[in-house]
Amino acid sequence: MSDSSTAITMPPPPSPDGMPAIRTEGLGRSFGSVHALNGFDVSLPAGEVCALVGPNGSGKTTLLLILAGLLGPDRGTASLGGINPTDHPFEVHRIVGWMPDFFGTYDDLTSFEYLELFGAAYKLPVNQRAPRARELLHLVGLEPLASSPVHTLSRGQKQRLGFARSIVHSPTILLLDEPASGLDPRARIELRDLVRRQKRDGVTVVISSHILTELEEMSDIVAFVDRGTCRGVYPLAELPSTSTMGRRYRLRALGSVEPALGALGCTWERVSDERAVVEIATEEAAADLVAQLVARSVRVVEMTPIGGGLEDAFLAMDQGGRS
Amino acid sequence: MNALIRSDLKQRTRGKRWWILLALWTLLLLALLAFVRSAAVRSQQFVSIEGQLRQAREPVGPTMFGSLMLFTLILACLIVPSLTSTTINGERERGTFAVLQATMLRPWEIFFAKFFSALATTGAFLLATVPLTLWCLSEGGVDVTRVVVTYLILVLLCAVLLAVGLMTSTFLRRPALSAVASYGVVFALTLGSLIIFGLSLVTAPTEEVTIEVRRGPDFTTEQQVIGWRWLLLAPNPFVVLADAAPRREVPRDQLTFGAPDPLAAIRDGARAIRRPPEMQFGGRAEVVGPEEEPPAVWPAGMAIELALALGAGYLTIRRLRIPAHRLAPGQRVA
Ligand SMILES: Nc1ncnc2c1ncn2[C@@H]1O[C@H](COP(=O)(O)OP(=O)(O)O)[C@@H](O)[C@H]1O
Ligand SMILES: [Mg+2]
Repeated sequence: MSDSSTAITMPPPPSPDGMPAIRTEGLGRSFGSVHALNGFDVSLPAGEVCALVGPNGSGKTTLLLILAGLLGPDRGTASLGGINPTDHPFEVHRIVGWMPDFFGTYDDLTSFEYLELFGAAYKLPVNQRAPRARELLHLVGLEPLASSPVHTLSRGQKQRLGFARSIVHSPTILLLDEPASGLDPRARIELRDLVRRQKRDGVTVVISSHILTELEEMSDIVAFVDRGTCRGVYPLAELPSTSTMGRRYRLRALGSVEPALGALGCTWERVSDERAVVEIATEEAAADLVAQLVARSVRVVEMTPIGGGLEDAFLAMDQGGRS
Repeated sequence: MNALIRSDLKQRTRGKRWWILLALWTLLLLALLAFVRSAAVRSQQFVSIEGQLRQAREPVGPTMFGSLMLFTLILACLIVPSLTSTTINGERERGTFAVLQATMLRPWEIFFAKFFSALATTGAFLLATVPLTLWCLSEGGVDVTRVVVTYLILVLLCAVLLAVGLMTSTFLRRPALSAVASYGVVFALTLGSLIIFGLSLVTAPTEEVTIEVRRGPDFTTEQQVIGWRWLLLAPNPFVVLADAAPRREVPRDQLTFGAPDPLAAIRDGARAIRRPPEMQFGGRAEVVGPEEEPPAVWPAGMAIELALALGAGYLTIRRLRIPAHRLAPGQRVA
């Protein structure tokens, strides 16, 4: 829930229409003296891709473990599709796919055998296991590697195999724990496409990360997690950073930028003769600045926002929380 | 569950290592058996046959088969625990266990899949000894019932070790530690039970008993009252195996000159401790010996072994239940 002590004002969370796919109330879990979750309340709408964003150790993995019915909470309740994972873990497993941040594979099996095994583990009918495994290998683009041992796969390929495994039983809710960490940009785009495809099929996706920009391109809404609590759920489009918050831009021109910037009287910082970092309040102002610079015959070659929208929003929230 | 067993077996047997181990096991037993045979043939007593002193020619089958089973049990005690003692925590360490638990597989299915795949592997090791057993049979003196029962007992004893291994690998986070723990259980059952039984005799009270002597006067002497202490030795796998194996029926009054049957020797020794104190004295040949064989030790021993296995299985399955509320120190679910 939105923390009122946050420095910047954020729009209220969207009122979910219909039943939320995932809902937690006062979820708490400690490991010894570490409070991994501390009264976690969140409600996520069905059919959306939700980014779970928070720094390392903020409790994302713990939350997903509880949602996946693998870890029992000390306090509070959760429900996925109306089912409580603590009381009915196996009913939750039927509708939920889960991909942990770190996982191994049985190295002596081939990709195909691996997926077939999990088809069996999810109790697919015997005659559907092989076709489903083939279908999934096709979906994640591992068809050519169907009969290679899993340990020969690269990290990105293993990640895709893990993704395929998590959707073997065609879940309606998909929990992905840091799926993009350690992936190169190309692998990340492939992941984004896979996630988008799940959304198109009506699947609710929860995807966690501590690298904020990594999720910007694949999520619809963002839930901020900080020290075991949820600090608000926002539609990505309404994130304050992208519209209302001040941002920094990297400016580069052929020739000196100093005289023009000095004359225009904006906040800026000199990097070199041709480079500067400019602080601008809105995107409109940014566009205006470029127009004015060009009007003053500055030959602008680059004007790029520094950091992603999520990053800025998160940093703002973080500072707000600490102050 | 079948699929899990199959894939588990596939992984166990895909490597070259497994086949090498199996071959080594068979060759080692073969060598030992050949050695036992030559020793058994040579150790037969010299008897007078038609006025001439000749070496007896009794069948060496019982000696060979008994030795084979004991060697097999010794090697099984060394190998079998390793088949499960790092199974669960090993999978946890490799990060393959949580995703398995996230499926529709129930904890008992995971337990039994791991258990049966290890049992099938054990079965392969036992199967490799079958040709050697056929050799023993061909030497005569061993009947098939004895073979079947002995193998059955072997399988059960191995199953107990497998269940214990699964338990240690579930409760202890480090594979090295759980391996040590399950070998510790093997040690406790084999040497440990012997040592503890021996030590318990120190505390056993003594009783004055009258010994009947065939020729000459009876005399009285102090004898230990072993009482319930035989139960300490009962779960010893070697005792269970030897005592449960049906004995070769030799008429009481018939003398035998062949090499001893090691299983029968252990069995006699084990049962002797269940004799009442007045029957314990075995110092002199003229002493009136016990007419009746004392009751068997193995049913109690097997019951203790099976209780151990059931307890281990129950605790393991309970510990594997999800969602997990208590974790071993330092353990992460994923
Ligand atoms: N099994 C565990 N044992 C002890 N501490 C744990 C365990 N799991 C998580 N923690 C602690 O709980 C906190 C939250 O961890 P986690 O949920 O993994 O955060 P995140 O996924 O956001 O990085 C961390 O401080 C972590 O050290
Ligand atoms: Mg994490």
